[in-house]
Amino acid sequence: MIEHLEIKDFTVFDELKTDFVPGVNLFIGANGTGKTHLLKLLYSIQGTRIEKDFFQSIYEKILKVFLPHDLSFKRLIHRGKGEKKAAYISIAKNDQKMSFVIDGNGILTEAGIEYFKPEKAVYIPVKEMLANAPGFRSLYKEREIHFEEVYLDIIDKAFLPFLKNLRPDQEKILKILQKEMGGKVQLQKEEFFLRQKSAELEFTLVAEGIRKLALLWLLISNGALDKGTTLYWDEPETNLNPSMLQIVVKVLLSLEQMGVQMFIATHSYELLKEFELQQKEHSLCFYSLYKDKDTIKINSSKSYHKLFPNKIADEFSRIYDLEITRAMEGE
Amino acid sequence: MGAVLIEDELEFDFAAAIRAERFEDITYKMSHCMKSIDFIVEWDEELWFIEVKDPDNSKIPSKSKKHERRQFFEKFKSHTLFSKELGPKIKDSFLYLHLQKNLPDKPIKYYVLIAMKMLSPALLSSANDQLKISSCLLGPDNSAWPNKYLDGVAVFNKATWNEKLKQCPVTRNI
Repeated sequence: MIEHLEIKDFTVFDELKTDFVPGVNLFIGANGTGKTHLLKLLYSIQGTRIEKDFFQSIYEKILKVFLPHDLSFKRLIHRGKGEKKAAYISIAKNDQKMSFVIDGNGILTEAGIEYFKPEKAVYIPVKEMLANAPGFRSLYKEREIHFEEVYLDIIDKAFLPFLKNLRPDQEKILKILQKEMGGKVQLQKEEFFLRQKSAELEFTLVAEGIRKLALLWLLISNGALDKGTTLYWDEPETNLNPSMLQIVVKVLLSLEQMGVQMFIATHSYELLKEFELQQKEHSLCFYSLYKDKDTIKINSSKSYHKLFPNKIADEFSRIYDLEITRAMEGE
Repeated sequence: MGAVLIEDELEFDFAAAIRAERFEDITYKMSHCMKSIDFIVEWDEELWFIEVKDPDNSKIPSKSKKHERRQFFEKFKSHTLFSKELGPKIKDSFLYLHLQKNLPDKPIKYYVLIAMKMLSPALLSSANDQLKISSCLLGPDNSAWPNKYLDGVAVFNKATWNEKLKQCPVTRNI
């Protein structure tokens, strides 16, 4: 469970410090304020499979997840005026802490660690990948295709074999999803199918919104998403009808109860409101990333309506304003 | 002549208007078959029909407040607030003045004040859409009625009313 993050001179951020809650962390902000970067950075560190040197593994994971030109870390260092900068990243969780510095040439120069154990992490990218899964993994391994590694990772996770035994809390969430999807997911060779009452539907023919629910169903069925896992989800609302978001929020809050920490980036008013309204006893925090004189800053609030600045609410105000003006001028 | 009109706790200053009246004062004895809006206000350039809803009223005993508020929300959510109240009210009120040949030749606006702090711009925006539908702002094929009818409708909360309609501020007197 990640508790604290400090970043200096990494991608869009020149200096950022923030705490997180153990449950649901929700990020809003205009395009280009670093929501996805924040999710990807945390995921790269949290979800690295440590193979050789600890920091080298993280270093490489960040490169594969961010995919800068020529895989050069130099390009991930915040670009500003003046002297050459160095990126500094520090993460604290459950009394564990680690930090590292990468200099202007993209070389790891300093690293400090007080016992740090990567944990299970799942990153759900914006683009849905299950329908394109057949053959993707071998293609990715054999050829130079330009996909951030989060796409490969999520397919790998979706392909994990099902758990033999499920706990009642897992069963409960799966039932909610099955009801919405109208069936269960089946895997035949490398192809996913939605098995409904009377028919089997290949994923390319299943609505993209339903495929999103199917992905959650798979991840829970195979244990990739379980207590102790950190979930990163970039724009859950993509391709989902807003009426479906209440189901997504219900499922996510059930996962939070199970002990899943999550980081979610969104532009959806409905999603945020749904979280606010279903909140009750859950651990939840809203964050707003915003630009202030060319610097990205972060504000947080436990309640949605107190979150400031809020570009999503501002947009509703603007639309309402236009409506009133139009009504007053005669429609 | 303009006037200050009071709807329970809410006080509207229409002093700058040509005429401001409670609608029920002029539609006397028609309530058995017609619903009526609260105020009719005439300005130099426009005629306003105004309906006031006040869920934030402090006189509602705290005991029943929760219940009343929930009921109001239910009406809001199910759109019956619009289809059964706000829509019929404007249609009947307009019809009444039309049949009485008492409609000045000015653009007509239908403004609804819902005095409820919780009404966010998103909810107000959705309320605007409902008000347009229920008041039959547009005729068949979504085009304006060939005959004179409403020229614009809008839902306000107290804050946006005072911000947009500066000529006639509303205050709460407790």
